[in-house]
Amino acid sequence: MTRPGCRALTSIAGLALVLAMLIPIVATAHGERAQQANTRMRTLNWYDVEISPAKIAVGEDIKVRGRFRTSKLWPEHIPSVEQRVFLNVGAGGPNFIRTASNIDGISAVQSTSLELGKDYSFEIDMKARRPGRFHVHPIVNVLDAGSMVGPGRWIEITGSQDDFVNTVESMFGREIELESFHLKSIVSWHVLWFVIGGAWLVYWFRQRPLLIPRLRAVDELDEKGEDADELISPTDIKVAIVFLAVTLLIIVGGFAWGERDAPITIPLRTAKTSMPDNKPFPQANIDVSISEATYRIPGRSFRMKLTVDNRSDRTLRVGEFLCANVRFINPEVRTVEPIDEHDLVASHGLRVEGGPIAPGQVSTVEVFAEDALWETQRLTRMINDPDSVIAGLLFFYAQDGSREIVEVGGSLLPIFE
Amino acid sequence: MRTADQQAATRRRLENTVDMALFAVIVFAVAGATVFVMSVTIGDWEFWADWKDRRYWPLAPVAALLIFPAGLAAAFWSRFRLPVACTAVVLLYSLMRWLSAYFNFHIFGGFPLSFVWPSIFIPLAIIIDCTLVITRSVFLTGLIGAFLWGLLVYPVNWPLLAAFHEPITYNGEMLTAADLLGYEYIRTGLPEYVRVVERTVLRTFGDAVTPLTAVFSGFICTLVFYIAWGAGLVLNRQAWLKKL
Repeated sequence: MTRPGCRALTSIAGLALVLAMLIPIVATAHGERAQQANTRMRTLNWYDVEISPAKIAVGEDIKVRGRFRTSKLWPEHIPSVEQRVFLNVGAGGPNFIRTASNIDGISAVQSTSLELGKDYSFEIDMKARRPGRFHVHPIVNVLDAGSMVGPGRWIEITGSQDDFVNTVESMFGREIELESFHLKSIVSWHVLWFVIGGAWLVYWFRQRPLLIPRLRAVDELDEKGEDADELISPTDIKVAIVFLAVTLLIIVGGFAWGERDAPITIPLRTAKTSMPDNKPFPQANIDVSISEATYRIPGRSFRMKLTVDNRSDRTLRVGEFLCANVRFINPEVRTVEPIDEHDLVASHGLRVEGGPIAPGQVSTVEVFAEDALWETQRLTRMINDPDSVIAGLLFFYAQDGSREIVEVGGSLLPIFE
Repeated sequence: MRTADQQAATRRRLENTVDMALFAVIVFAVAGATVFVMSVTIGDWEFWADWKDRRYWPLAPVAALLIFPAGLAAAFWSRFRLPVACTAVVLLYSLMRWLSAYFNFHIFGGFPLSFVWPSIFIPLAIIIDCTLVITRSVFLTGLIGAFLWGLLVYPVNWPLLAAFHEPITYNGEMLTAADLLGYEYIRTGLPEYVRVVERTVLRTFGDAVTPLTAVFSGFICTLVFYIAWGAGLVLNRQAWLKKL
């Protein structure tokens, strides 16, 4: 390449680098589609999730709440919620602050552990901090497994971050503004040490040129068999003693200052929150088992053949199949529309053959879940997973609006043509 | 025919250029590499206020940070008898960390600076450099200077950190201000349990965690200093340049 060409290429690359640094690209999703399909289906099933209000100003409150069921079919090779979990939220960074959170009403400031096959309610209270439009998800982080991401909503925050304040009070009455807490002290101490460290370097670098003459002198002394330490003058030693003494004095003084500033301190908190033992399994007046499950790839059609035993005193109909946060709705039973463009609702995605199940009746029902969301949410990738096991929640509705929720799961057989 | 004065001036100019070039190498290579290595290995202790605990923060980052300064100190001492490497590297590292805290975490990431402030290491580096000058002994510098590097990191940072460990009652629980920052300012991929910080154990010495960690850290830093110094001497051999 010619020199002008090389120069032009370098300039373009430099400009691109500068622009890339100056123009921030905001990540708006949380990789929820990146996880393997069958692990999304067989870990946590989130439902009744509400994130509201959808538009708030800086400093205003927002609540994320809902329920999740920990799957009985949790893959045994993936560390489960029985170890350690943390109720978290995905919000594109600290665009909100979390002011409170709980699982089943028990504070979730610290991590905890859950049980498989159980149903949990959760709430996360947040306050808007930075203006913008953000996709907010509830998340459960599972130790050694990863993040189980719940359904998301777009939330718009208006106003200015300058209006945001976040003040708390310590047990000893100190008012703490967390946005800028102790910052003056932090900066002052750093500046002090930068000045002293800089002074040490200036002392040694005051002679110019420095390196080559000293290199030559060290080599000459070594060749003569003399001690190169002679290059360190008595003045150098005196200066070093002064620097060392000043440094140690400031450290001692700083420590005493810190002790006086906060005489009573505690270590960081790491206790694990305990959930009540023996939480009952979710009760349902219906038993469901899958006798056959297929996925026809060309038609994006998932079919389950179910044996349903209705032990309730009401006639039940399949209204919804929830699978990896995708809601397939039976329009003959329920009307559910997507709340925003990324709400994973297939309003007409569920078709049921076999009709309503009368009280006490055991019947065979065929459920068809058909929507492009199978593709767009990468659920069809399940056929490439090492174990093609499907799982999800089936919602049965009675005429009076009451419902029965059961987890179903089993092996899936793909149909390729 | 050039006069001796002209030759001396040329040589002086050339040597000044070498000084500047070496200075640039230190800034971009060593300090940059230090920031990179620290970020990808033990970065979280340096990124977050709620990772600065009594057990691991005064030990792991402190020992890891010593590797580059000690290695470079070996080169600068053996070649130039200049006791500046530790201070230079740590000062530049601190500068880079501030830039990273401000631009990456505060401006781009949106976290408050009070949540992501860098630790202070500069005085520890000054202590090592001064010890080297005063003793002119690598052994004593490792024994005293490097030991103090590990021993004093907690007191050096205490005026910054103490207020973050004051207790707060929050929703019926007791937290430190640092814990509260970690809870409130959302980090999606960094749940509370991921922190490698002190947890309750059945230890014999009760609550004397800080002094025990300080002494152990000093001991580890002494070892790291000798190893890194030795590596610095090996890598500093001219034979490597000839092979290149």
